Amino acid sequence: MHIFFVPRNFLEAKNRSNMSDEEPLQNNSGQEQQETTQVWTNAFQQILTVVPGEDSTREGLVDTPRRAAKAMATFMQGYQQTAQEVVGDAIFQSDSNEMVLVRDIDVYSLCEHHMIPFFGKVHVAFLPRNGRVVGLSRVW
Amino acid sequence: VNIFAQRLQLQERLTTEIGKALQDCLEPLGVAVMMECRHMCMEMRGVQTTGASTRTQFRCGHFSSPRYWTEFESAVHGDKNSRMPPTATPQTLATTKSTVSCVDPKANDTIGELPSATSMDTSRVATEADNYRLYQSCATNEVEVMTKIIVDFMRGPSLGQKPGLSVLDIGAGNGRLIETIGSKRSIEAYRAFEENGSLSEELKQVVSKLGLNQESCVVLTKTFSEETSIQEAGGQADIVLLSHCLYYSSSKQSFVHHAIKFVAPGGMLFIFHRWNPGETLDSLSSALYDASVLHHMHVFDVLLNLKHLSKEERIRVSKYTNINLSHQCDSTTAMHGCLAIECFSDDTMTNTSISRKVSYEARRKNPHAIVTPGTLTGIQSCLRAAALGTLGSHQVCVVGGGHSANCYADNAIVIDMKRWDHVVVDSLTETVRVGGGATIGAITVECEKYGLVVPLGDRPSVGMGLVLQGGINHLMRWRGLACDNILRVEYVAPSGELQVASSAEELFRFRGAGPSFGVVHEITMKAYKLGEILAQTTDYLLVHHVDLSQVMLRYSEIATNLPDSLCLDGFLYWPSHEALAFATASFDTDGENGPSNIPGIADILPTDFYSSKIQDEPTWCKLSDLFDRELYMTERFHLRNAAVPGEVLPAKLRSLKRCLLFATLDGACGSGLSEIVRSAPTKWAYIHFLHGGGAAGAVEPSESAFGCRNWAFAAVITGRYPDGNQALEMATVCWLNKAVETVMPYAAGVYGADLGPTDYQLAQHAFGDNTRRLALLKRLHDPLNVLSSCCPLLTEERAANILNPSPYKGPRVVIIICGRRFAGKDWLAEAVQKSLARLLGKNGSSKVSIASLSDATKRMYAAENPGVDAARLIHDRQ
Repeated sequence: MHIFFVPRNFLEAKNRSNMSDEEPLQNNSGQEQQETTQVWTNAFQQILTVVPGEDSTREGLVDTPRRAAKAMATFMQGYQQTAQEVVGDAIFQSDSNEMVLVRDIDVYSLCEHHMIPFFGKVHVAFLPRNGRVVGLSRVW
Repeated sequence: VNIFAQRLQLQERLTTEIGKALQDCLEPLGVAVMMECRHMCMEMRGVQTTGASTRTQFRCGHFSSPRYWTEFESAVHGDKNSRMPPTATPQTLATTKSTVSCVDPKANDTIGELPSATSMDTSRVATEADNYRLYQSCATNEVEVMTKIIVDFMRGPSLGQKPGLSVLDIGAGNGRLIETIGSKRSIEAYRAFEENGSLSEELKQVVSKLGLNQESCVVLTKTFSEETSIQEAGGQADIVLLSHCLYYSSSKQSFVHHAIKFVAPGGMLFIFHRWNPGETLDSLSSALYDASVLHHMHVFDVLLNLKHLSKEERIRVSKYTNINLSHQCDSTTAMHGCLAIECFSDDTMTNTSISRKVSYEARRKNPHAIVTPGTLTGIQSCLRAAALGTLGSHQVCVVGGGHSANCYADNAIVIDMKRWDHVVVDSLTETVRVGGGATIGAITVECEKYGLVVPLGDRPSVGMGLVLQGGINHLMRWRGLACDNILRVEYVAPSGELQVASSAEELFRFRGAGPSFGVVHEITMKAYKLGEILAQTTDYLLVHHVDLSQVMLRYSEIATNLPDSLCLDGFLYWPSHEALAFATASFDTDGENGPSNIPGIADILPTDFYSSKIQDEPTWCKLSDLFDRELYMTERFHLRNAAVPGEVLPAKLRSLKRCLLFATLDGACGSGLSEIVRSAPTKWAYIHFLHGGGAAGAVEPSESAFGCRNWAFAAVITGRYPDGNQALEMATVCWLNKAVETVMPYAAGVYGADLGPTDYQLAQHAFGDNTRRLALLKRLHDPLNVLSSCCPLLTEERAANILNPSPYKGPRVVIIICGRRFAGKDWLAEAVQKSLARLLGKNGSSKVSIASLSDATKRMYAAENPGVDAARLIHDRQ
């Protein structure tokens, strides 16, 4: 059996970079993206105004709705992608049919009931048929 | 992962989506996903202890099987430190179901909405090894029974002779089996494959106590697969064990085939397998058709003791074994099968048995398995498997000499008795003990060494099936049919029991209908002192105008008046394509006075009946010499003689035979028989008249199943056609049926040995007045009609009824109302009838009737039957 160990720090680095608010959004037309971000920003603006005992205009919070909107857009960008697109042509022929296991993939998501994060590890394994394997980087 | 994580999610759905995406993109053989997450919505709100994690899984394809899943799990948790979330402890992993999703703990109905492909398991997953150990703790007698089977073979003829035994244990588990075997018999070398790390560690511990040296004891923590080479396994082994390791193999057949390669010549392969409900060993048994492999089957029940198990543990055992376990029962049984396969090196094979060929007609059938048992338990297992229906149909066929067209049957279990071919002559008591697979030739040759003969047939390759169904022979006028000389029969009854028949009552059914009542493995027969036989053959070429019925009559008259020591066979055949011939062959067992003691044979026909005559000098010969000297074996019967000039001779002839029994051959019977030969589709047809009567006719019909005794001639009507010529084959079949129809009215009976399981009509004539008695015996001894490939004893309807039982027509529920006299039983019965009829009346099919034995009933009976004393009927309770 082959077990592919994925360096953890590498994964974390990758995830961090994904979550960074400087990261430009992909797979979204500029127009649409801007509109969505604006709606999100407005919504967060409203939320901030009704937080009891908080001044939404203080320096630290001025840009918060925009930043939050951008972060949310990142958290939701899965909707713009399909597995087929991501995998693309990264399917390779291997001469082995042994189990391929990618262990300890960090996973961060938002729970649909509260929109609050849940996070952990996921381990994915598959048994190739006729040596068909996917490029490992495409799994996470 | 991120495509699906970067959405609003549920952990369960996320798990499934990842799994399904991989499945769609790669179409692999299996996908497994395991996710462990901490939920901030719970933790931050304080609903859940910090650090608790929820685990969800997805598995499909091969990962649905415990084997791959365990492999996956152990790979995932191989390095405990990497477990996430870092704060999680094993205790908190065992969270309750309420933490599965982030909804309110009380409203956990989301579980019900999960896609069925997701396997939710929030508790710590019990590993395969845990389940294995749990199962072991219940299966109390399993190791014991397995050990007994193996150790029995280790002491048996093939393994017992080896000085030190090497064992290859595939899927060895934790070594409880080898531990017990090792305590019973010493092992020289041991190698094991066990893929489960935890079990193999335990196995190493166990094996170290077996007292083997380091090099000869190897435990490999890997999977045995079809790619495993013999070098990897450290060479071949005398014993290869495949105990419960076939469940996860996609092709059991090729797995077993591969495993057989690891068996050293003369060694054995043992397969232990738990039979799941409805499962059969179909694919396995067909993997074992290899001629060099002989196998035994064992079916045994393993007792599962469930008393000490909790509800959750019962579920685990149930899942592990695939057996439905009720929560109430304290114990249950699981049916296990063992195939013990002996792998012979080629030279042992040729030593143990004569190579023999199974009849052409039989070979055209497609049996389910051909088993060559070497032990009685092997035969027993076959019969039990047939009774249970776990292998093929409920039918067992037995191959003795392989002559019968019915020694194979479609979808049946065929027991080839060729390993039971012993012949032991006791010259002191003048008896001979022969195995159920011995041939007439072997017995005759062996007996001749002691100057003895057994009245047996004239074809050396014929087996014991013929003896048990009659055994018409050249010595029958002198010493009776072969079956009349059976003294003792040891057999395996259709129920699987070992039984012996030695009294006249018990031997009744084996003297003529033996193959229907058991798989006979040993027969003791009476032998007689006899030096040589005086034999002479004479051919008369018949003149064209001769009335053949006159020839028959003449032959019949002369033969009937001969002394019992002399028998005169007749042949009606085509020596050339234009003329018929009648030949006689005389055999004199009491030829002390020389050739002159064969009276009148030269004068069998008046000179104007024949145009030429060839007469051999009488010669003294042993019974075994006759095998090749029978007329139809000689040049005179060569097919080139009967061929039209210029005709291309067929390379091979096939023959079809029917044997009818006649008291005389005069009149219409004689002319009918001679017409048969004239009307045959090919001129290779002939009739062989075997001269009976004498001792064979002196036996009371009620003494043996062979109930036709009042005959003097057995006429074997033989049609022959070129191999592969279907038109002539069909014509021959029709001709033979027509022939039997023509002369049947004159016949005294039919020889049952030639009949097959579907010859119901003719079978009525095979046993004389014994037909009914034998049918009753058959129903008593073989109620499932397991041994049904020979002459049928049951009527067609009854045989069909066993295959497809008609629905039960009697009452379903019987309510018994009892009480003292005048208690009102009849009244109550009527009341019950009324109310039940009202309740059941709705569906219309149920009927309630009263069967009363009350005084009123008795009075009515007495009134209807004059002469019955009503008072006594009521009052006399004795």
